[in-house]
Amino acid sequence: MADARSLLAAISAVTGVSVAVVMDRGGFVIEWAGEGMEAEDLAAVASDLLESCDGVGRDLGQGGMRKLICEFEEGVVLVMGGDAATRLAVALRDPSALDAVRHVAGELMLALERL
Amino acid sequence: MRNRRAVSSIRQVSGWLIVAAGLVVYAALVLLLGMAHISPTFTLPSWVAQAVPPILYATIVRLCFRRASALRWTTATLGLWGIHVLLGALTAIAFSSLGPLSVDVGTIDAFPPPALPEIFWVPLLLIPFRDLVRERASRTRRSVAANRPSGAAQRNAAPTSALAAPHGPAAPTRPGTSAQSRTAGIVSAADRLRTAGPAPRQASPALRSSSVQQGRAGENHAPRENTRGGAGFLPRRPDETTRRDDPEVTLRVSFGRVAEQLPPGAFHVPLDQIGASLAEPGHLLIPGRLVLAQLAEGFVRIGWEVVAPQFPHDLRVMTDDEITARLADGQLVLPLDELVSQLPTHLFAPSGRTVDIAGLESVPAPFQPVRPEDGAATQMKGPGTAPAGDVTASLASKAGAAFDNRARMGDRTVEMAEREDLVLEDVDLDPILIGQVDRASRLSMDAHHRPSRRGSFEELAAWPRQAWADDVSAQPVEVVSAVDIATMHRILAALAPLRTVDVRVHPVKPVTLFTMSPSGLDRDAALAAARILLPLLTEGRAPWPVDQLTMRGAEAVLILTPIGSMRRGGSVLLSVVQPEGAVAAVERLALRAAAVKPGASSEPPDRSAEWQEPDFLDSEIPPLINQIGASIDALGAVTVEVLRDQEAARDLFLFLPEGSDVRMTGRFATELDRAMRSVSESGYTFHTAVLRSGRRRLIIRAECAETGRATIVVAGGPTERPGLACRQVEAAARALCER
Repeated sequence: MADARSLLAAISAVTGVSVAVVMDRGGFVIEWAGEGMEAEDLAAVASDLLESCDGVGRDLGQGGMRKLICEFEEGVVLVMGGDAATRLAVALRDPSALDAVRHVAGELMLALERL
Repeated sequence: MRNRRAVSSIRQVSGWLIVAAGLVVYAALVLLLGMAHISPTFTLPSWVAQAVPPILYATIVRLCFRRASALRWTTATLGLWGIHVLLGALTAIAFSSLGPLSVDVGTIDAFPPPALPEIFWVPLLLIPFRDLVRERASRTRRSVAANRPSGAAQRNAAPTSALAAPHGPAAPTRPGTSAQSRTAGIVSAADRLRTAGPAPRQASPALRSSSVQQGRAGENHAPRENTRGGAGFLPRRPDETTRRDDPEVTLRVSFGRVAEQLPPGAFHVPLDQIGASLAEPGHLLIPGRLVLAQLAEGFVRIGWEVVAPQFPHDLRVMTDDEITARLADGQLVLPLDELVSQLPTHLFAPSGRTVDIAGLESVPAPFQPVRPEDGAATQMKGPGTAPAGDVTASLASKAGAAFDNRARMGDRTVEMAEREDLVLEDVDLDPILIGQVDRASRLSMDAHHRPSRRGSFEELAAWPRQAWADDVSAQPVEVVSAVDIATMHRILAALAPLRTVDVRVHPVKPVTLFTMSPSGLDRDAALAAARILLPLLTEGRAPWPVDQLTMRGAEAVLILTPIGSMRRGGSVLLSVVQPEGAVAAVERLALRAAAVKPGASSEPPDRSAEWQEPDFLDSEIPPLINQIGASIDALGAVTVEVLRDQEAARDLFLFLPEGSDVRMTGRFATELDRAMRSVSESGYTFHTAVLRSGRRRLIIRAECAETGRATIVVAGGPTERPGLACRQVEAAARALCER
């Protein structure tokens, strides 16, 4: 099984991915890979998104947030690990890369849980 | 079917027939007495005999009209006595001309006239003149009673009888009296309101107007007090307006305009089907007296019990009590436009005396008086459509209404009256605090736009202290009650899913502290902590320029972001975040709000200041410490230093970039540790402080081992992975404590 750092590099290597960042619950960068976007900004905003949606989900009785996919005009942001101490955020320029990223991101989240 | 209308007793033929019959009997009696040579005079002294008629008449008047005033009693008595004298004289004159008749009229004196038999006829004159002798109030009641539609008339009339004539089928009326009969119901209801129970101070304009109209149309029987000018409003008296024994007029209101106020789930079927199954499909029938009683207040409400009988019982799910409990204030608010459109327009005409405004036309528009004839139109116009003069009148009317309402209905009405006159103000949060503008832009805004101090929250004064200082002396500070503040906090807590923040401003000399905290956190404790931590932000205290200082604890995370130079009386933005919250996002937004360019603080360290430097001793660095230092790779290459604080009996482990001022950093770390200990006494307990200076972070973590030995770990350097750096420092602190 590949380690977390190599999985993160694998995600960033997917065509269409800008930045992949692993962060703590506060939104501070633990590790990141890729280019085209400030990893700190992505981590902070993604963490904020998760917190917002987490409150909405609980208010609706749907439980906590686990995964978030935000589709913007210029790209897609995938946030995973809403209920974990370590989270993953991936910014994609090309939405078509989302499926490939989700597959690797799932493996990365499993690896992060083992840390 | 037409209504019976009031007819004065003077106009009643029957009364005059009785008088005429009495006069015939009187004449016959005089003839009979004359033919029988019987003197009609008393066998009493003449002055006593002349006193008998007025005494008798006074007694009769008092007995017949017990409630007549002394003036009317006296007038009636004198009137009857005068007629008595006149009749005696006329009788003597008449019979003196009857010389050929064998009647002895010598016994009939012209003056003073005999008491008999006039005293039997003269009192009959009270029958036609009784209305003049009676009190006006009692005559008014009788007149009103005559104006009420009879029970049969009401039963036969359509539900929308008189008042709903423009919209419903017209009730049969006598030609030429339709207008009178249309208003009769309103007048009746108004008069019932006025005469029932304790008399109100003044009648409402509408009701007063209707009374005046009735007085003019009728025999000028309207009460005099109702023709006085001046604005006044009839108090709302539910006990008067809910009398069930009075026949009344009915207004119609579209069910669709009211349906949305009904509690959801109150019926088995959708509301549109409910509307179709009402007593009158699509409409609710509202008693006119309830509307008239509230009209002057500007809105009309009715209790559910008023309209409940119109709803089919088999379609209801809730009981009446349940529905009432779920209505706002237990009542339904009715659409005023529909009600007013069914009322006669003259109800809205001002009733006061016409003011002579000749010569005032040249006064500029805002100060021109309003012609009374324009009053009705003014009241019917919506806001923004009335001309300047109308606006003046409208405001005056509102002010009068508000004043009256305050006097009679307590705080609740005061709130409603004030709501009507409420002037909405734009309450702007400081754009800098919400990250919309930078400081330079805000400075330019100062000259043009200044937020109002009139807000519910004094903390909305999020404005430069000096700017406020100009206004403080001129404007009184409004005190917000503790109850209001507690209510505000409850509201904010309820809005927690929306992540609302509590924004306040606190002058903490020599700086101003802006606080932003989510609801639910102890803001006071955060403020107390900030007061202790603020001196550490002063230039020269920290080894690096401070862009931001984040204090992490188990209960909360405090983020202090300086705005401007601390030495020059700048401000500090204090953000309070929950420990599990998005701290990084708040840090980022706080930096943006403070418009700080990371690492751009140009203030040189204050080397001249004399800081109390602990008595540090250099210690030997064990190999374990070097290994731990090597594990902190998120901050780049660091060198390891160990200092021993003799006084505090604690060790400082410093992992800093090469060339760093170790002692100064150690001194700052000890000061920070001391501050954190002080803060813990006031509420919050912090374990980690992160100083941000550009891309550099200085992480200070205090640990206290179970042995009681205190350890401070200080690690700093440029990093792109602050989260990892904090985790590494945390792990290092634990390892050092456990060694």
